[in-house]
Amino acid sequence: MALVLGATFLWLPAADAAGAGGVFSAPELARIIVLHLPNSMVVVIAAFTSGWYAFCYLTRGRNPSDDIRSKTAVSLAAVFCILATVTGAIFAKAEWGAYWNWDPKQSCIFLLLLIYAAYFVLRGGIEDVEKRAAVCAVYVLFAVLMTPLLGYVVPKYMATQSLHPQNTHFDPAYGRTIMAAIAGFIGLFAWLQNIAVRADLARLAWEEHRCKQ
Amino acid sequence: MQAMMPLLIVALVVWLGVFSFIWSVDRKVSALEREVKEAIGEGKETVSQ
Repeated sequence: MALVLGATFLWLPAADAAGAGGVFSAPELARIIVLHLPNSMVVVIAAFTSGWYAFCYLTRGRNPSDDIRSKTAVSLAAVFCILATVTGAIFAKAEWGAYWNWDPKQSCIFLLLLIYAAYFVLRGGIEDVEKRAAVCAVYVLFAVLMTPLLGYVVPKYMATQSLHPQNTHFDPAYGRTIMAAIAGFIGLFAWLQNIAVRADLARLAWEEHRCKQ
Repeated sequence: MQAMMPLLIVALVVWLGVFSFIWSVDRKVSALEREVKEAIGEGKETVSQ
């Protein structure tokens, strides 16, 4: 990640000098795409991870550790979704004059954040542990479907009027840096997921031990 | 390139802070796991936070 940051600030050219067609009024700040895009990718990866464990929970004998893994991945999807929104808003302020413009992509990511927020409300609203896990697993499968739909399909194909630059050609250096950043952010997601799952499993083991005594 | 150096230093410091924080949490979770394992093995009733 340190190398990615170094490359972003020292190696990448400003976006307009790189043949982006002069579409950016803040070409230096367009470097933020190196953080914005990988964050968005990790949201999708985290959502699919949570969906996979939710599916495992429903089909593989209702194992509580699957519920924990699914919950942790949703939490991280929400965190990376907030990071993607913040990095996008910073660029929006420089580019379009306001942090929030209700652009189709911004509206869709807002809906996605609401969907993730509803998951935590749902989780907090059910007392029974097994019922909570089952209901949340089904909800996660819905959230997983909505993530690529709201993040990519709706803004790309259903909302043609967008402030977001379309078909922009960046310098090839951007592609390489973004790929490295995606690898770094996926590693960060895996690390955070591992830590949170281990902490929750330790808590679960401790609670089971207390119940037995 | 020179104009970007202060921004790079700020970004690196922020990243170092985030990395150190996550690493410290990782170590705390490892210690908690060990403690829970030992407590369950010994049949204790409390684990230090």
